[in-house]
Amino acid sequence: MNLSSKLDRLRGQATPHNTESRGSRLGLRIPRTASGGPVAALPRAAALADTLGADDLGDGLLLRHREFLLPPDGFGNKDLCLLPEVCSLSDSDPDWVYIDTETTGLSGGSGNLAFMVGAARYTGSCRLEVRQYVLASFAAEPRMLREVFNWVGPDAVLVSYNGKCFDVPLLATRLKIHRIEGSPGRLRHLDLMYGVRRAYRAHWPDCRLQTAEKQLLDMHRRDDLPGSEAPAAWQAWLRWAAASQLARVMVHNYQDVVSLALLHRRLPPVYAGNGLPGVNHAAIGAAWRQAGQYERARQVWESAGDLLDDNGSLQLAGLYRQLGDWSLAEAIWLRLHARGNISAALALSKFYEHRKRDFRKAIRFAACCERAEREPRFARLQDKMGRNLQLPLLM
Amino acid sequence: MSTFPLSEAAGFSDPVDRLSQQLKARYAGRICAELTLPAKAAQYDKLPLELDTRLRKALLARGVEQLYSHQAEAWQLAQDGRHYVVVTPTASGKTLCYNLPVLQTVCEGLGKALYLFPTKALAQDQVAELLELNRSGGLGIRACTFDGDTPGDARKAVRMRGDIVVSNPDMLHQAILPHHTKWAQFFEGLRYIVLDEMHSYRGIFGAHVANLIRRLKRILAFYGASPQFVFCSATIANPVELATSLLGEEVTAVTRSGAPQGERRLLLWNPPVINPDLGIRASARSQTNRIARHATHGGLKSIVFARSRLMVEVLTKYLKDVFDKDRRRPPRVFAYRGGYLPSERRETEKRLREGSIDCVVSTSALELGVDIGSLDVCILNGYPGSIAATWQRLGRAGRRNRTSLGVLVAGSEPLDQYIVRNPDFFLGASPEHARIDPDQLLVLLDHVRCAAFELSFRQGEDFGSDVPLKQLLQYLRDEGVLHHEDGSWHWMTDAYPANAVSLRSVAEGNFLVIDQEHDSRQIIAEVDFSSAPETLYPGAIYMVQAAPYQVESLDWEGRKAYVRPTRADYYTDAVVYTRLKILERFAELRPAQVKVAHGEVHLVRRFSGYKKIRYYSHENIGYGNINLPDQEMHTTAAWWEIRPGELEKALPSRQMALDGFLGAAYAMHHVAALQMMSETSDLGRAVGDGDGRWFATQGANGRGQMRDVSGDELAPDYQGAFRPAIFLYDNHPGGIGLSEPLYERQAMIVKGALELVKNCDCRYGCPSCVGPVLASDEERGYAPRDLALTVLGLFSTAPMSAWPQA
Repeated sequence: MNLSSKLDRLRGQATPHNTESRGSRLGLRIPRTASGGPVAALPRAAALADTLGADDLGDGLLLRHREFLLPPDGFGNKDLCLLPEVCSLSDSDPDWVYIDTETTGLSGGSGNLAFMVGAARYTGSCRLEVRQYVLASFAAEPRMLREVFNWVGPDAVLVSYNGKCFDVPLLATRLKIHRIEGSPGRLRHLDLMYGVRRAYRAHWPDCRLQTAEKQLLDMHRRDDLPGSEAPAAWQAWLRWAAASQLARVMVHNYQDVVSLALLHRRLPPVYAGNGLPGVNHAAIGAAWRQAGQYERARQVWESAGDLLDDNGSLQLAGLYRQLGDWSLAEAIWLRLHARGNISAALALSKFYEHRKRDFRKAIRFAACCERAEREPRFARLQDKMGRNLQLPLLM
Repeated sequence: MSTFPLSEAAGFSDPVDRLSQQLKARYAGRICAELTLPAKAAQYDKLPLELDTRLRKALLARGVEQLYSHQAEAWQLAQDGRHYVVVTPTASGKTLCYNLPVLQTVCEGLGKALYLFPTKALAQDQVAELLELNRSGGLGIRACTFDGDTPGDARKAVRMRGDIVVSNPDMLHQAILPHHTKWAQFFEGLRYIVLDEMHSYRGIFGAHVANLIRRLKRILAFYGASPQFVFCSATIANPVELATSLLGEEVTAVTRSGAPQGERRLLLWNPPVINPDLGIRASARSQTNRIARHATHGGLKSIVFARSRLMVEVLTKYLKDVFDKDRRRPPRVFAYRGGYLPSERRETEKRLREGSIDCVVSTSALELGVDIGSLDVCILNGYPGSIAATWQRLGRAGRRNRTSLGVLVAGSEPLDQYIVRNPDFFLGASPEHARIDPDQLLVLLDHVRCAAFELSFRQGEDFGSDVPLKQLLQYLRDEGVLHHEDGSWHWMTDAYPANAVSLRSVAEGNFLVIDQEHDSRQIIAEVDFSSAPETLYPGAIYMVQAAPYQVESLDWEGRKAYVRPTRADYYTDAVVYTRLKILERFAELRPAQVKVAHGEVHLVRRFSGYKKIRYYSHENIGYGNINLPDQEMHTTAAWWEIRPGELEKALPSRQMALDGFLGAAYAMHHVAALQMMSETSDLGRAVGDGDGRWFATQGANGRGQMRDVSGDELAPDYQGAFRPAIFLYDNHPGGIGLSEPLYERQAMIVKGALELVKNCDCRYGCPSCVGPVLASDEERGYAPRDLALTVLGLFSTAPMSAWPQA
């Protein structure tokens, strides 16, 4: 009995009553072909290039070149820097490169590779050069990686959607496997997903790229191949030289890359602080504040008005304190305290103790704090007042 | 008042000595043999001159001024750049055999080390010890655990900055190797790989680990690293062989321990005969219970090892009934076994180290190197199944300078009886061989798959010397997992293969036991897939720390059992039917009267029902049904048949043949386990026709019954052809290489079984030879024992095969 039928038999009964998990364990099971040998890769690559409308660069690597014109919006490069993550770049005229990959698997690990890399950069204020590299065979991968990163260059600022956790580490892994120098993880990188999530997490069902397209760009893809079917499309090409699905992946990837640029241009207004509804102003302001942009933070929070939640108001009060606008801060704390907010009570207690040196008031607000805060505060304040004091009754 | 000489006074007051004198005086008739292993003085060697000064300081700070001779020997092998394996007893300072060279290398800035322990708990102990050394010498070494509990944000720090990473094979398999590029820096600097508790890497787990090491070496080669491997093991007969087959390279052994050892006493204990006619002895359980009570009353700390989880719970309950009656006091008796939650086990370990537990009842779970401090007495409730495991468990009692006592209480099983009646066999025997088969096809296929994900296979690459790599790769290509291009094999599917491979077994998925009584639906235990059907059927009593729970429902697909606390005064025991079908014969002996063969078989286990057994009286108080899917397995087996004609001549009725075959199978199974030096549970036995048409089982009346595929009883005389056979099978899916040696030793097994039955003291048959027989058996008109002898006599006409005599 040969090894293959022996294995079939052994496996058929090793894990019974579990056919489902066995099926997934096998992956896609295909009928065995008599020959099974590989078709010569190069003629196939030329045929694929034809189907996809791409150039055949040789060695199984294809490249499709396109130009995309963005609707004129008067945006300059400086405007694209008006996001907390990249505001420090506004004087350096950044070289934005939008990037998105299609991979053989979504689970991570060294065995997954990108069989398609889409990338785009500006060639004019509203003009994008879009490049899509496609592998017609495994052997072309090292060359593709070299070409992509040569084109990207060392000074580019990558712009991606979830690229920090997915695309870039995956490409870095493949570079290591092919022993190619370079660490894309060190490139400057704006991951738009963080900015979108920060602003909309609480308001949208999810924060996938296509949801952002619908919500922010009013874009609805028709007949789009779901990203999760991309691996199967490349497998179909490798096994049966079936290119039709791969052509759909190409369209999908192109759309992704272009959407990155559109989305990138859509976000700065959201972050500018126009008091729009349906946005988490507290989080946006906090991101600006964390980036050291206090005026922008203040603008976002103040313009939000009643849309700002208590947490946002507390942060605004904190910012006022930081900027020395004590009376504005006090007004917010008093308003929140009146609604029973204990964090505000704590802030007020500190304010009266350290700033106003009004210990009596400080004690009054300390009484509303949590116990761990309250007791040391009482002790200290009594001390400061220098005499025994009847503690206020606790509520 | 007169004064005793000091030594005598000390001897007199030694409580362990007092207990052993007391037992010998009261129960002389039950003690079959006694062994005293004298105390042993230490053999020292100097600290190596080249030792880093900080490291020397750290050792001196911990009171280590010189090394035991085996530690110095290991140091030298490490300096010579050899792979080595250290095999010395429990508590002999084994860890320094690898910590010293590793710490030296790290101190000198020459490289890093990876430590692998079979379980997470052991790894955590080890880091604690390293950190202590680190502190006392100010070594500034970063030792970290990397396991499932390591938080995501800490993982990066471990990869980038860990000097010594302590992990387990499962993590290496599922998290490290598939993400090897993230570990590039670590692998490039790797100088030592340490595998402690090597003896646990045997059987199916060992086959997995051997293949895991093949994968690791591939990745190491990719990063240009060639670290030294250090193995540590409890006593086994073939440490070098095991280490060599795990590593696939030459390994040198360090076996002479220089550590001191206190005096150790061992009693072999046979329960008294209570029914001489049937050869029935008192249960081992009753004796163990008695000895443990003596020890605890005498103020000694003891550990009791039981062979099953069920027995752990039963013994714990009996001991708690005596010592933990008062609930206001802290409990003195604890149970410890697999299936308890990790936190609960850690808590018990901690109490053991603190000495606040007087008696712990455990399965083999505590046999491994979990640090539990020092105990005085170790009681084995039944022979653990192997000589190595026996010594390993006995080693749990007794530390450097104190006398300790071990008692091996024999059960009624043939193996136990054989050992207590032939003490010289046990006391003189070398420990077992640990067997692995790194080329077990299913395991190999799993790991070739994982390896292809980690790095594409290139033309001319190999994966262990005799592996049909190319055929396996082609198989995976045909399955659509790999793509073959220009001589290389590339991973092509959207899957993470390591997730589908468990290193501990072939079947997957643990069952969670969930207590429904509480709103929170608390998980109270975990049960592995293979033992779930025997323990978690609806109606089963499942015990945790001797508290009974009743299983209300079992979600087979979802791998969950829902239980509720109960006050039942009984426990349950599943009734299992096994039938077998021969698929292929690898080899066959065909002398005149019998046929002996080995080959591949298909096996189905059916869980037909369960018995309810009352506590203390152990009477059977009822039955219940089990509705569970049959468990199928494909494995290898050896089998024995009697040629038609000869069978009818020797055994006139089919009923007699059934009884004879069942009795002979019982004896052969136990003798085979002993001779194969494997555990009884690694082998299974069955009697049937080899076509899976019918199988034989012992009915409630004690007589052999013939049952068909659906488990219904058949009348033997009304069937067509009657070709019974005895099967001894490898009890792991795909087999782990046990059936071929079974076949080769067939004559020895039959001869041993023949002697066991012939020399038994009973009249009709008993649990010590052909299995339990009932009182009513006298009415049968023939003794099952004689029938088994007839069958074995015929089997023994098969010629000796060309196997080297043991």
